[in-house]
Amino acid sequence: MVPLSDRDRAFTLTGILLAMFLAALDQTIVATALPKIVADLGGLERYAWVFTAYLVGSTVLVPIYGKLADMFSRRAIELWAISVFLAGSFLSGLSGEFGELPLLGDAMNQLIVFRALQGLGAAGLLGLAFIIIADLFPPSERGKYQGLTGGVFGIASVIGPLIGGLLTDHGGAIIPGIAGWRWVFYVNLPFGILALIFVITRMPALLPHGEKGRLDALSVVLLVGGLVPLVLGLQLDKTAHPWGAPLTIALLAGGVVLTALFVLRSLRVPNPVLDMRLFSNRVFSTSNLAGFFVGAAFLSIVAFLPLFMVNVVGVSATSAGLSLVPLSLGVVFGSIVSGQIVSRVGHYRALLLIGGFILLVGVFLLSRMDFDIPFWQVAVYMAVAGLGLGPSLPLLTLAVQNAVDVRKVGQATSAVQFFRQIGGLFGTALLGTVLTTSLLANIALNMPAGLGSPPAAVGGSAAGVSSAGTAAVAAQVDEAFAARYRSLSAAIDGGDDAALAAQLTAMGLPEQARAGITAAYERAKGDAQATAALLTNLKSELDAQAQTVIGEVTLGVRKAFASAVTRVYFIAIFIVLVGWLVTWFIPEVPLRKTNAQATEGVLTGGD
Amino acid sequence: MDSKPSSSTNTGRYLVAIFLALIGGIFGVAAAAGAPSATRTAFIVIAIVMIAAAGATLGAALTARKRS
Repeated sequence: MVPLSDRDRAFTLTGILLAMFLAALDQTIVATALPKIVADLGGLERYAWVFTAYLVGSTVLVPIYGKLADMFSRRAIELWAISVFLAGSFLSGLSGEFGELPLLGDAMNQLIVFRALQGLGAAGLLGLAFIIIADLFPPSERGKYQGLTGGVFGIASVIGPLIGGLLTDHGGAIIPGIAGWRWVFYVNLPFGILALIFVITRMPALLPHGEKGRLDALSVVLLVGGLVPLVLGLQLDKTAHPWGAPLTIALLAGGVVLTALFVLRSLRVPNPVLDMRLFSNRVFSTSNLAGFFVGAAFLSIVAFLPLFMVNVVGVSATSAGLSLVPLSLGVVFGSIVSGQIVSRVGHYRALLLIGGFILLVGVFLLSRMDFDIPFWQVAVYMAVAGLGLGPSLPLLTLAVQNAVDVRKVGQATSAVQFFRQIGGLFGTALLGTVLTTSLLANIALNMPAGLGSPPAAVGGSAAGVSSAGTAAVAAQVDEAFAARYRSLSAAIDGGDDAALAAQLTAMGLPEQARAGITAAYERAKGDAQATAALLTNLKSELDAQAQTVIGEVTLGVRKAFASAVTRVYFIAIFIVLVGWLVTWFIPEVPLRKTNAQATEGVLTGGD
Repeated sequence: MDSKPSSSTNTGRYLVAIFLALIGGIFGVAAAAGAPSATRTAFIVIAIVMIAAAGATLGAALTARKRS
């Protein structure tokens, strides 16, 4: 065992936090780049897999990385994870540059495969940061550093869309000939390599004790085989495959059966991926249960607030990410401050309960937002919710690490990460469905009377509206009226009486208005000047009508969105409440003041 | 943590029962708050199935406890 200097500790911490930042960033960074990616690569019908592939990879392997960290040098596992992540990032950026490739197929397929590879690396980076911090610092000091980790995770999750938008719009200028969206992936390379250098040069091997032995291959197969369909079932677009659809049921049921088999297998083998006896530890079981529900709340807030900001408050799609900064600041502040406090007072339970209560207040406020709410008020609500979310990120992990056998810190820590991620998937799947159904019902209710059918952007699916925003809806209405004018103009210019009559009927104008236009047309026939005057009058009349309809439709869409999103947050109150109630059952175990037990045989000089 | 495997299996049953009941409850709340639709019906069915499964798991845990 060798002592670790403060300098090496700082560099190691920087390296793992940097790597974790990149992995968390990539969960959300692609969202704003996707329209450009699809425009460049094609494959619109498969675009959702760009997210899903990453999500599956970064969720499914979390428990396995935790187990590997208990068996092998944590530095070696971290290096492996960073390398895989960087390879995935580089290849994702290259997607389509060499045309169609054997086995991988077209550009969109290549991107999906490489995103999955990126996710396989990210799974390690997310969990290992917490595990390595557990090696570097004793529980009584660890809160401060876990707080930083929570802060980094919170910032990365929230600012991903902002950075993605900036790189997509302006990245093209970095190196001429390389499209801006490719920098969404390439940007990981310099920072990832820096993290790699810190880890190689400053991090000790961190060899674990006691968890040697062979990894049970069947457990791994059952775990991966169970989690992949489970994650896919939750991630499926529920407008195309509702909860009751055969595919959704088959994926979820298959996933549950294989996961149950994994549990049974884990109870029987000597060296399981996740030791099921950990669940007998009440700190472990209750913290993971609370983490599941907090994860559901966290991802739901992050996922649905941009929709509210774009479609109700009226910020542009590209600055939607920026509008979430108050939430991000709340998370960072809550996470870091709670970490500092727990290091000083040595108790985590009270802080978790206070954080949970603040989150409850924050989500309640979010559920009370109306369509005419000003931005500053949403910002305050977001900051309150963020402040409540902050403490849960580091403290649940700290509580678990402090309570379990040090030989199982890797798998216990990755379990916290895993349950939080699965909770997030569950929350967004459930609440996303509620949003879609509420939105479609509310839009029908809020469309102006007399509008034959809502514009295409607000019809069809809620997903269409979500991405379109009210600006796109307005543009569609404008275009519909412009098309109307073009048809009328063509009929009048061409002297086509039948076409004019058909157009006027199609417009649904009152009989009197139709008669007036027809009379004016008859009078202007053969007189170019009078025809031009008639067309000018019609144009200004239609423009005025378009503005009225745009105003009414936009207001209707805003009201519909406000109502649907607040309904989602109303349900989120119950999710947070359940998590908070579970938190009451987390036992308070005094934080260990030394890391002797944890680091004995862990901090060693070399591999 | 070093409890016997049979005890941890039973603890697991209680945990699964609690988890299923909570998830079932959340689906129930989502159904109650959601607009009438096929999705709402699906949520109600899922909530019932989850809560029934929670009851069955709890029953199994209690039976196992009595036996031991």
